[in-house]
Amino acid sequence: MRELEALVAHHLARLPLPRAPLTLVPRVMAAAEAWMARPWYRRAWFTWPAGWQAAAVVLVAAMAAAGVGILSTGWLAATGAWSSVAAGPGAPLERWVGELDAAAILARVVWTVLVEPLLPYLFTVVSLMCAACAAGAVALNRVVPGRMSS
Amino acid sequence: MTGADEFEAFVRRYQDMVFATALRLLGSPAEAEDVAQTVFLKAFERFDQIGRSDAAAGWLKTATRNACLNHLARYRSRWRLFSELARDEAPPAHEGVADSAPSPEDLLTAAVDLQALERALMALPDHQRVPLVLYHFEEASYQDIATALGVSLAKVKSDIHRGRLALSRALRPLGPVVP
Repeated sequence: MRELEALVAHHLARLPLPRAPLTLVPRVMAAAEAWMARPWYRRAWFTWPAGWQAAAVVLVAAMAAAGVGILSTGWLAATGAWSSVAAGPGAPLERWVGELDAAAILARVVWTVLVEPLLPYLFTVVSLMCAACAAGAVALNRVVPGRMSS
Repeated sequence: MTGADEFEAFVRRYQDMVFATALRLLGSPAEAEDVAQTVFLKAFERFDQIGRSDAAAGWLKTATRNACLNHLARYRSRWRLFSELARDEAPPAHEGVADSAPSPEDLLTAAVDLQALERALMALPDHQRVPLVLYHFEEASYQDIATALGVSLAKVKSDIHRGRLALSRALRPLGPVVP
């Protein structure tokens, strides 16, 4: 078995490196030019301008927080509704309404305490980043096109 | 030198290495060219970081290897099925080179038909060629290969052995063997 391994390794090591076809370089350059022609927001996230990268992170975090808030509220409402149903047909409707009320109050508290205070800051940060990116994009438009076209 | 010229020089410098790695892993020139293009485009996106880096060759090799394995997993979902079925089709592990064939010692010293060997390598089924190429050309360990392919260590060893047996059958001396 070792003999076979040595034999195959010996001859495989002597194989010449296959040459790339002549079409590869033109294909790659055409693909690179097409990539450059794409607007920045249609490229990979890590190639976005830094301001937009940060804005995207903030946006995703805000959406995740909102999602968690909505889910927890929904869960509380569903739990309340289920416990009312499970209590049987004789369960008072008022209790079910009370559970819903509690869930709504909790949602309002989460919104007022956690989300609402952050909104002005979030709006300001995103607006500033938009302005910075717009300025950056204008500046880049003057510099970057020379990279691929020349 | 502009950015485009610099990148073109970069592609010309590494194109054979990237294409050869992809060709040997995929066994198809057309698919290898597609993967090579994808890898160079990824390199272009990060060209500011890797363009002048000493690690560019290593980065390209790793990116090519990963792209090929992803390509095989995505476009050849029959991989594992055939891999398992082929166990019975391949000759048993103890079956070596036929008696009439030159001995391994002879073949080690003789000039062999390398084109026939390359063709035999390309003709191997995916599940034998890929681990064999990873072992002999990419210098990956058996364990690394098993992890990368998501198969057992025993299967990797068995497939590589079967691949070597198939290749040894393609090894024929160009002239009479000199003792």
